[in-house]
Amino acid sequence: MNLDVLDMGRADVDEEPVHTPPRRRTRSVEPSATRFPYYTPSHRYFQNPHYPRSAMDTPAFENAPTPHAIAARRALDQRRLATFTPGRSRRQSFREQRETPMLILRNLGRALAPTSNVIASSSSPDKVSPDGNDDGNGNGEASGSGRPRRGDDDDDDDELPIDRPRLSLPLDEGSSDDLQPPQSSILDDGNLTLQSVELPRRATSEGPFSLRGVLSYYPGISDDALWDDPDREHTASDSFGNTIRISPRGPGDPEIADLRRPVEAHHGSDFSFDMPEGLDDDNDQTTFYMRSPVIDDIHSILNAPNPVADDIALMHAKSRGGVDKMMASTEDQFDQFPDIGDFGSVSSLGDAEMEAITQIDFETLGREPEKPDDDVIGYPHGRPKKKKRARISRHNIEYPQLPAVFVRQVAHTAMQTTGFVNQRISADTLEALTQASDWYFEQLGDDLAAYANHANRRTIEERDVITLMNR
Amino acid sequence: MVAGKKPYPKATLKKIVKAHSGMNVRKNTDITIYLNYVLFMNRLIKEAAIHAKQSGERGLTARSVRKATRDALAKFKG
Repeated sequence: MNLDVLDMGRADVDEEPVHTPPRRRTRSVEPSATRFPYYTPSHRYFQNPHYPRSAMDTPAFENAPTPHAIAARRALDQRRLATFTPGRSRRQSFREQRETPMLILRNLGRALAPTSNVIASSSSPDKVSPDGNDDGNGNGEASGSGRPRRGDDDDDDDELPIDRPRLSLPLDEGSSDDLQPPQSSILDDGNLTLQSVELPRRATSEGPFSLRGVLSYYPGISDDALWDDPDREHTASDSFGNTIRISPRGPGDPEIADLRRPVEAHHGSDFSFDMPEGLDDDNDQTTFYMRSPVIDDIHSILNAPNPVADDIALMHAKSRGGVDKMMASTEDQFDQFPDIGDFGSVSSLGDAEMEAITQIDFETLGREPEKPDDDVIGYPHGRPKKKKRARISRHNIEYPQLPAVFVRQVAHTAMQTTGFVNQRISADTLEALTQASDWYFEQLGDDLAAYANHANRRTIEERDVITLMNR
Repeated sequence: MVAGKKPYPKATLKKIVKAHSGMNVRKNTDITIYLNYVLFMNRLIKEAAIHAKQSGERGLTARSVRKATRDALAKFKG
């Protein structure tokens, strides 16, 4: 069909000088109505290689579209494209309606544009602006343009005292804790090869205390420089703060000097030497004790008059006496030799304290049936209360024990799936199961209370339990 | 199970939960709690059985139950 039409077109060209038959004329008179919905110019001109381009170009070609016709056809096609395949453009139009951050910012900018002023005119140039106005209208713009620069200079002058300390930190002012680079986990002794190797590092705050501290505090080494003048030592260590290498006036062999670090660097960890609060006034240099969370516990237990501590104190009066005696003796030693500071005895005291304390700690845990710890489980005297009926919960509410028969029944049901031939539940197994059940209900009560509390309720509801089960 | 027997000690369960949470318990909540407890018990026994079999015990012992207690409790923690 296409070829047929083209042939007709060629025939038109050939017959053009001659009189055209009416049959053909009618066809060519209304080209857009019949042909062009089906054969667009692109179809005719480019998709058919057999079509002679010269014929198309000749102005004598009657059916050739005029420029106006081409434009009209193009507009028609575009309109049709727009109606039938609206996809991308329509989405884009929607996308523009959507709120994007850029759009919000643009709207904000449009809203603020008429009302906002130049920043430079805010504070300091206020005094300058009248001068600019006094200069006259002719210089108004020039002075206006110069004004912000002057204002900027003023601002810089104002800001300098703020910025400068940050840029150039005085070396001798203590900022040793926040700017120190991470320390290598092993000691680098100036070995460049070793330094080039990436080794695990730890923050300065949790530096290897065992290497740095303990060695330098060893009783054989009298390094009173560290303790005699804390201020001087502080500056010295800070000026060399970033290198482990040395304090210039470190006594003893250089190895030990390498190991010495400012004590302040370790204050981030919870294990350090510290001064007891009560002893600071009279004896401020040589008395210290090892501080760790456990020991803090012990001191609070020993000093505070709470019932648990009293109970424990009664039970372990002996060990407590031992600790007190040891503390007293070491304090006496410190009083006798305030300058030297026998650190060995301190460490031994620390160990003894530790032992006594962990003992007491175990007892404490054992006496409180709330902690589901292996320590408690394994502890021979861990069975807290022999009375079955008087159990007090955390909220001081008495509660009954779960009946053993019930536990056994549930456990027996659960045993069906395990495949044990012997499905008997012995007495101690039952006891363990009951204990586990107690802990379970305690944990369950806490969790349910937390959920209900979170929902601002004072009643535990079913959905709390379901939430717990979904967890 | 005998028909007339109580499936679980409702009042006791409720008292225990009330004591531990310090809150009231709504009407049918204890049934769900009982269900959860049964699930916990199943898990505990299963874990304990695995422990027991690994250590070559016949039957369930208190030791294996104690070992499995911590894991089972952690699994049922909210």
